[in-house]
Amino acid sequence: MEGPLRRPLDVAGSESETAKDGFPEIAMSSFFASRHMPCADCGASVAAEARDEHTCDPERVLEFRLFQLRDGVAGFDTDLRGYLDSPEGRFEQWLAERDRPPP
Amino acid sequence: MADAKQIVRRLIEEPWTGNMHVIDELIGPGYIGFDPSAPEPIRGPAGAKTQIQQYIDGFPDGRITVDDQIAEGDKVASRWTARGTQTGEVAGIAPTGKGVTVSGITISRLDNGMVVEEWTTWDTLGMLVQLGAVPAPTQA
Repeated sequence: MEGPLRRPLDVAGSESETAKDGFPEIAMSSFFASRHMPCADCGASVAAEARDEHTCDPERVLEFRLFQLRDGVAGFDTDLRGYLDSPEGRFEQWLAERDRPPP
Repeated sequence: MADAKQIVRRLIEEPWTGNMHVIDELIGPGYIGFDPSAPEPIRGPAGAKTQIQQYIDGFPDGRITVDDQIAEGDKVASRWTARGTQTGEVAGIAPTGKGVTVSGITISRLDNGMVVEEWTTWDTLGMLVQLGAVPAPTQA
């Protein structure tokens, strides 16, 4: 990741549905707009007046993305064990053992 | 009324810093609380704990800050801001990892140094919008 990420946030109150810098804008009436909205990239709660200046903390971006993938991460060990127990996985293990260079 | 303000401030802020005992310390046994997000009035210290705990479970890193207070007679009005990251389920909403900031106002009535009645209004819709649980209507 190169340097801090700077992204405009979804702008509440916008009438446009066009994407801005790759981010879809939320078109909503100002009545329902919340003064704070989470950044789409890092999940940080950002006040409306700070949206243009918001810069994502790369660590927070990583944490946020990992959180979205938590089910996959949590299931990785189970999936791997299942694969290793499958005929294909057993063959892969046999092949790797066979090709292991001598110590 | 400085003490009353301090009592209410502690009651609003401290459960979020891990001190749930403050509820037993400062809420009267006959306490009744009214919150638009609760279908029924909140009764007694146990009811208050249950009400707060469900939000702490949803926002374990959450904090509430009392921004301003006004006291008159036996009542204290507190304007507060809550901030937290939703890493637990809230109101049936699966964890999103999103940060949320909402504000609210609580009017507390005290008797003998304990809070016995409360009326709270807070930005429930704002929380739901920020979590993406409420689809934002498109302008015509």
